[in-house]
Parts: sequence; C-alpha cells; structure tokens
Amino acid sequence: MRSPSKAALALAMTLVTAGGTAGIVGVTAANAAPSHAKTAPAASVTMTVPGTGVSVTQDLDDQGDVTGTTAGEDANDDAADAAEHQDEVGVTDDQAELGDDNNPAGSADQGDGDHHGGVTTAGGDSKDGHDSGDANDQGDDNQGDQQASGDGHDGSDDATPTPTTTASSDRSGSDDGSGDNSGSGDGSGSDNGGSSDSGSGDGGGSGD
Amino acid sequence: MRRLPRRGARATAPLALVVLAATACGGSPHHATSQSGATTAPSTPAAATTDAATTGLLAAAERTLGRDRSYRFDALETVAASTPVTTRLSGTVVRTSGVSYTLTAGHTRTQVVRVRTATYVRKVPGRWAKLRSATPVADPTASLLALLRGLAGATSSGRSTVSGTLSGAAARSAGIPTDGSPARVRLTIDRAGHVTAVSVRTSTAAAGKAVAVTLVSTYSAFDRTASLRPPV
Repeated sequence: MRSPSKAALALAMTLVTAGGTAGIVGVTAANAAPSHAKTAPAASVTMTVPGTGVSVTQDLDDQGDVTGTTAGEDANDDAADAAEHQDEVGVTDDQAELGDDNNPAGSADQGDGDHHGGVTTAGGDSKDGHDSGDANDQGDDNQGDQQASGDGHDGSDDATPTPTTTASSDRSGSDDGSGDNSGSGDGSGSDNGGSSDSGSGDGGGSGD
Repeated sequence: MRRLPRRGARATAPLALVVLAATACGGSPHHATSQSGATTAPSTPAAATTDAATTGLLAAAERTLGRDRSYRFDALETVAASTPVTTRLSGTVVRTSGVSYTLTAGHTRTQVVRVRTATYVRKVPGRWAKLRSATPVADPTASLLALLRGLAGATSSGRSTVSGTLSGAAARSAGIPTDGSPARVRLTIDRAGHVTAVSVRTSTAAAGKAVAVTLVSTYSAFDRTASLRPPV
C-alpha cells in the first residue's frame, strides 16, 4: 500500500487545525457577545415611584456613573412578579429602548408583536430592521401640553399629562417651572390648574 | 517540497492570531451584575412613635387613597453616586384601567400606556409600538399605601405636612432602596386627605459606592382623569 505523501499529510493537518480553530472561534464568540450586545451594568438601583405602579431602575458602571435608565412595572410587592420584572422603556446613551429581551416591542399596527420582536431603539428604529419612524401618526391628543408650554416640552409630541407642580411641595430645587393644567378643582389646594381639562392631556391613554 | 511548510505557515499564522484573539475575548471577565435595589441588610426597627394628630392625618390619607379613582403624578428621582443624575417620570393613574407615563432621561423621552389588554410604548416623538405581552396592571396605589402604613416616628407640622422615617423593611415594602438605614419621608396631605406630595431621601450601595437617592413626587387632578385607552 502506498503511503501518503508529505504534502497530503501537511494539507490534512492544516484542515484539521482550521476546523478546530473555527470551532473555538464559534464557541468563544457565542460566549463573548450577548444577544443584545449590551454591556451588563456593574450594579443598579431600583425605586418605585409611590402610587404609580412604575419602578425606575438606574444602571451604574464601576465608577458609579449612571449608564442607563429603565422603567417598568412595579413588582416589589410580589416576589414571583419580581423575578419576571420587565422593562417597558429605557434610555441608554440617549438612545431610547422599547421593551426588553423578555418582552420585545413590535409594531402596534400589526396587532401582534410576535412578528416584529426585538428591542426597539431610538427614533423607533428597531434592531430587527423594522423602521417605525419618527412621525407620530397616531393622532394623539395633545391639548394638555399645548396649554402648558411652560416646561419647554414640545407639546405636539407629548401625549402624556403635563407635569404638575403642587403648591405645598418641597421640590428641593427640582421644579422646572412647568405649569399644571389638569385643573382638579377638588378644592384641595394642591392644584394650580384652571382649565377644564379632565385628563385630556394624557392623550396617549385617554386620547379623547 | 519546501514550499509546503511555508504555505502551511501562511495559513496557520492568521489562524493562530484568531485563536489568540478569540481566547482573549472569552477569557476576559464579565461584569458582575448586582441588584442593589433589593438589599439584604437588616432592617431598622421603628423605634419612634407617631403622635395622635399625625396618626389621624395618615389614616385620613389612607382612606382617601382607597377612594381615589384616578390622579396625575410628576416625579423627579435623583441618583447620586459620583455624578448626580435626575430622571423624570410623569403620568396618569386610573385604577380601573391602567397607567400611562412619560420617562425623561437626559434629552430622551419615552412613553408608555399600560392598559389591561396591552402595553404600548414609544419614543417621543415616534410611532407607538406594542409589547409582545401585556404588563400586568396591579393596583398602583399599593406602594403609596405601604409608605403610609410603614411611616414611623412621624410628626406633623400644621395640618398638611407629615415627616417620618421608613425602616429598612418598610422601605423595601414600598419599593424604596435602602442600605438598611431608615429612609426619610415627608408627605404633604391636603384638607381632603389626598397625598399631594411625597419626598423621600434614602441611601443604598451600588457598584461598591454609597448612593444617595432622592425622590420628589407630586400628585394632582384627583378623580379628574378620563379612562385610559390604547393609543392605537
């Protein structure tokens, strides 16, 4: 039987080495790169805003600098829920993120987010390639914000209620002077409002 | 024949570099992630007592909160470990239907409408998207109720301001981070019993550093907010 030539042996060894290396690279890359390519924070601080059902989490790096902010359901009162805590929205490096890996955002127009899963980033550009655009074509009710322009927000885009300043609040210097147009009229003295707006400012929700 | 080893060397040298690089990537340590929001430090027992007048105020606030159907809120949270960062959360609570809010961090605003059937999110400005699964709509007043009930050593000044502390356990129950030391709380309660402002000062530890956390939240438009509806 004819023995293989040195050239054939060298070629075979090269193929074996290349194949093994490819395997190593594949495994290592899988370990090194998380699916969402996001560096895990060194630590985080989560606080529930009382009476809202919303928790705000600040991610901190090793230096103690805040690197990201997320908001989601308040799950503090339920250990089971806490384990399944989901971020609804977030901001990292001034980039908006919608949903999270466990509960991604999809096009609302589709009625089913399953086909458009993926964390959506700033400007509505989804990581999975679906461009949701910047234009708000939902016809949001923005009465409240237009009435209260004191906070410098661009009212045409803001469908949420205008921030409220309570007369007796110790704002600790944090009040940005935004006006309150909610007009509770409850006689509590806690509202600076005067308009008859009864929640129309949260057009994202009431939309009326 | 001498060319073969050279060819092999040419072929394996880049591969060796790839192997080294890949191994270095895999070998680098990952960030250790820790959640400081839920600390395991022992709680501080409530030592101080609350006077009768303040107890009455808190009881009235609790009763009123139980009756409130809707309200608006505006909160500023400041986290200071190295550089203080302030985040704003404003929105509407409608107990029968859900919560809507705007999160402002830096120059970026995002918006959420959480109703029973679905959760809608968007960057402002931007189109609405929908989360694959609806977020459970729990009673959003639970955390404020826990805060009212957990307040210890409370004193009132005038008829509207109540100051006190939350023990570590009480703070955690209210969703407030703590390193075990009491969180300082100040409430403003109007004549109808509505809690119109909450101020919380607490401290915790994260990333090996002491972190001071301050929250100032105001509430208004009680029972004056329409039901929440899906934005699309």
